[in-house]
Amino acid sequence: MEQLTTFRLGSHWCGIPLETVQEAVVAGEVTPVPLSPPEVVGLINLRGRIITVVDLAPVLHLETAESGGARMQVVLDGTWRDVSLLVDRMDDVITVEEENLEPPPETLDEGIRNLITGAFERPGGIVLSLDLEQILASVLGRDR
Amino acid sequence: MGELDPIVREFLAESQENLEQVDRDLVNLEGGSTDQGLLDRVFRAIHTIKGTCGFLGFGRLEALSHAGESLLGHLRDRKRKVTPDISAALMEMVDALRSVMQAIERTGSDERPGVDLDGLMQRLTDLAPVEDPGEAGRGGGIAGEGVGSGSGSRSGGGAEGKVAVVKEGADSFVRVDVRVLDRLMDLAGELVLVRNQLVGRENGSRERSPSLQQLDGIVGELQDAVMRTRLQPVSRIWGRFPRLVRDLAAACGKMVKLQMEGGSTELDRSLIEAIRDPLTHLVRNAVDHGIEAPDCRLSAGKPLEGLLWLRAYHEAGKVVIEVGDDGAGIDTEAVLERAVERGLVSPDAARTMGPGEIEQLIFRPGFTTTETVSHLSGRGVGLDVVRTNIERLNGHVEVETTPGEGTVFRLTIPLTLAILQVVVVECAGQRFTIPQVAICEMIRPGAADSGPGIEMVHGAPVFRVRGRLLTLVDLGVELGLREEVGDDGVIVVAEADGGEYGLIVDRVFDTQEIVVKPLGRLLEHLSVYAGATIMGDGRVALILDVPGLAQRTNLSSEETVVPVPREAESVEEDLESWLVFRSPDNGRMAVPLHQVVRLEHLPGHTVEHLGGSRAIQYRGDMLPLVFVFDHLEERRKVRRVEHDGERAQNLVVYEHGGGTVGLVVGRVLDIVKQTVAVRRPSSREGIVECAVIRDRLTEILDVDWVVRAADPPVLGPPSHLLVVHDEGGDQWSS
Repeated sequence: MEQLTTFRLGSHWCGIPLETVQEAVVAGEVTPVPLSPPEVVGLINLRGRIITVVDLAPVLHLETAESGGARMQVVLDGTWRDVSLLVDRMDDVITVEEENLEPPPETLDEGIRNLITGAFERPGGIVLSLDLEQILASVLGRDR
Repeated sequence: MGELDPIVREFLAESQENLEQVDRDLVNLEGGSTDQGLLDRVFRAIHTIKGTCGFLGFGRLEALSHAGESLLGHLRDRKRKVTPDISAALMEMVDALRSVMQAIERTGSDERPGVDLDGLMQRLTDLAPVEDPGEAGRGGGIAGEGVGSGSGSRSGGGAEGKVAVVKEGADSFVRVDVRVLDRLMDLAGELVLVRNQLVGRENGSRERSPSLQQLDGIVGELQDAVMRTRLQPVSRIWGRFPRLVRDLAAACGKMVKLQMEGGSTELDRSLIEAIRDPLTHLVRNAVDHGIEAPDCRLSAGKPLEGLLWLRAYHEAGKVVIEVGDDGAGIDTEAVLERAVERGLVSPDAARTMGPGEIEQLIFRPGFTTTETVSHLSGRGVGLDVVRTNIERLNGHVEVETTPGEGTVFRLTIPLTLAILQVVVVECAGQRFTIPQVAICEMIRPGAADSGPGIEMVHGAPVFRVRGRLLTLVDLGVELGLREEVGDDGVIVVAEADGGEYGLIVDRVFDTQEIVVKPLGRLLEHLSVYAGATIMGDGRVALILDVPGLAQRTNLSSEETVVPVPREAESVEEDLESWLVFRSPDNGRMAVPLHQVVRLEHLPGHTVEHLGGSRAIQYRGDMLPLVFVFDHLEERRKVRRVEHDGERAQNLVVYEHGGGTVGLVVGRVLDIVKQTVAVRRPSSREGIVECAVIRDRLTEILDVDWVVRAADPPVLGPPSHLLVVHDEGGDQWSS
C-alpha cells in the first residue's frame, strides 16, 4: 500500500510518493537563473531557504493547460529538499496498491516513458506515477 | 579499517594542540629563555601524553614520551641545562611523537611508527645522565593499569598532583561537533532574513513596534554569538611557525627572530583552515627570499639576526594578517627584468609600469626571482597560489616593500564566509549582486568627462580608461538575457585572475551585507554564480562569481593584450578595423584586424630555428614567425638605436594562406575601427597603401609580400599567394 500526492499537469494526472513531498505552496515570485537548464524556472525563498523551481511540463513534454491560473509548487523532501516542482493544481492524496501499477499508457511519448514508473487506474482517469530520481537526473544532465 | 575510538581521537586532537605549544616553548628555551614556567609546561604536556598512552595501551608512544619526560625532569629540577643538543633531541622527540600519532590515526595502533624510536630514545636517555629509578618505575606502573577509568590513569600518572593544572578550567569548555555549529549558523541567518522582512513590512508605518525593536536587537546579538562559536584564534595556525622558522633558518644558514603579535585575533574556523597554507608559504618565502644571509646583513649595517614578524588585528570588520621581514625588500628591477624575460609583460609595458604594478607581478603565475630552485620554497607553487587562495575567500593580498628595509605582505580577509558585502546591480530587468571585494571602480560611460564612451572593436565592446583599453562584457548578453550591448549602462570594473575587465550593467543600486546561500544541487555547476541570497524584500537574488564569469568569457588576460574575438563579423560595410603598430622608423603601420587571430607576447615562447626560418610552438602546432622589421631593412637602419631599444616583442597571430603565421612587430598602438576615406597606393616595398587612420598617416603592411620575403617553409608552397584581404573564411577550404 502506498500513498501518492496527486496533481494536475496539462491534461494528465500525476502522482509522487507522499513521503517525498514536504509541502505545497502557491507559486510566488520566482527569480530566474540565466544559463540554467531550461526546465529550471528559477529560485524562490521558502522561509529563508532557497529552493530551485523545476517546471514539470517541459520535462514530460506536456502542455500546461492552465497557465493563466495560479500554479502550485510541490516542495520535495529528502535528498531533493531544495527542489520544488511547478504543477497546474493540486489534487487529493490517494492510496494505491503496488500490484495495481500498470505499464505507462501506449499513447505516451517514448522519450518520457522512462521518467514514469507506471500508471494507476482510478475513477476519472489514470494517474501517472512519476520517477523523481530519473526526472531530476534528466534536468541535471541538460544544459543550455 | 574501523573507526577510531572516540577517546583515542580526542587524545590525538588534544595532544596535537599540546605539541604545538611544546614546540613554541622549546624554541623559546633554545633561544635562552630561563622561564621556569616554560619547562614546567613542556614537562606537563609530555607527561600527560605519557599517562594517556599508558591507559590507552600505546606502549611505544608511552616509552618515547617517558624517555623525553625523564630528560625534561632533569631540566626542570635544574640538574641539567638546556644545551643545543638537548633542545634538538627534544624537538626530534616532538616530531617523532607526531609521526607515531599519525600512524595511530591511520592504523589505530602504534606498532609501525615509521620512525626510528629506539635510537632517539637512546639519545634522550644518554642526555639525562643519572637514571632516576622512580621515574622509570612510574612509567611501568601506568602501563600495568590497563584500560580502565580515564580519570584514574591521568591523575594516577601524575603522582605529584601538578598534572591537574593541565585540566584547569576544562569544565568551562565543551567540545561541539562543527556540524551543529554550522546548522546553528544557518538558522541564525534565516532568522535574520525573517527579521529583515518584518522590518521591511513595518517600514510603511510611522513607528516601529517595541516588540519588533526587541526582536531586531536579539536577532543581531544571536547572530553575533553564533558566529563567535565558530571563531578560532589565529594562533592556531601560528603555533607551528616558531618551529618552522627555526628549521628553515637553520637550513638556509640564516639567523631569524620571529615575533608574533595579535595571535588571539579570531576568525571563522573555515577561514583558519583556508589561510594555513598561504600563510605558511609567506613565512617560508620571508625566510628564504626576504631575510638576507648574515654576512649580507653585516655589510648592510643591519643586526645579524633578521626579524620576521606576524601581526594580526581587526580592521573595519575584517581581519588583517601581516607577514613582514626586515630583509632586503623586493628588487623591483630584478622583478621587472624577470617578468619581461618570462614573457609576463612586454618591454614596452614594462617601461611604463609604476612600482605598485611591478610588485603585483610577483603574484603572476610562473614568476620567481631566484635562479636556483631552493628546496625550501621554490616548489613551483608561487605567490600566485597565495593570491588565488586568498581571493577565493573574498580577501585580498597586498605587498609593501622598501629596498634594503624589508617587505610586508598584508592579507585582508573577511571574518566569515557566510556574510558578504555586495553591490546590488540590475541588468536586463533582473537583479544581481556582485561581491564588493572584486570591484575596482564603477564608470558611467555616458558622463561628459569620460571620453568617447563604449567603442566596438570587431564586434566586441571596449572602453578607454586612463589610456588603457578595457575589455567589456555585457552582463545581459553574457547571461543570454539580451542580444545587444546595453547602451545606457554603468561599467563595473572587476578584477579577476590578476586582470581587469568591465562588466556592463544597467543600473547600480546600493551596497549591502548579505547572507550567502548555496545554490542547490540542480544549479551548483553554474560557475558564473557564487550562490544566492535573499534580499530585504524577500526575493532571491543571484550572487555573481567574478572569476567564473571571466573564465566563461575567456578573459583571463595572462598573455593576451587585447582579445580579438574571431567570430564577430564587421558590422557595417564601410567601417574597417585595423590593428595599428609602430613602424620601424617610428611611424604608424597597420594590418587589417579581421585576419588577426590573437595578439601574444613573443617572450612567452621559445623560438626554434628550422633551417633558415624561425617558428614557435603555439597551441599544439608550429607557428612560423615572420620578423616584419627584418624585411624592411633599409628603413630599419634609419633609427637603428631606437629599434633595438624597443625590440619587436609583439606577436600578431595572423590568418594567412589557409594557415596562420606569426607576425613579429613593434609596439601595438591601437585598434581602430573607422571609415578610411583617404588612401593612396604606396611605392615603398612591403606597403600596400597609405591611409589616414585616426587622423594620422598610416602605412598598410603588405602581409603577402612580407611573408613571401620571409618564406617560412612550414607554410607550404604556393598557398600563401592567396589574397590576404579577403573577407570571410570560405576561401581557405580550396
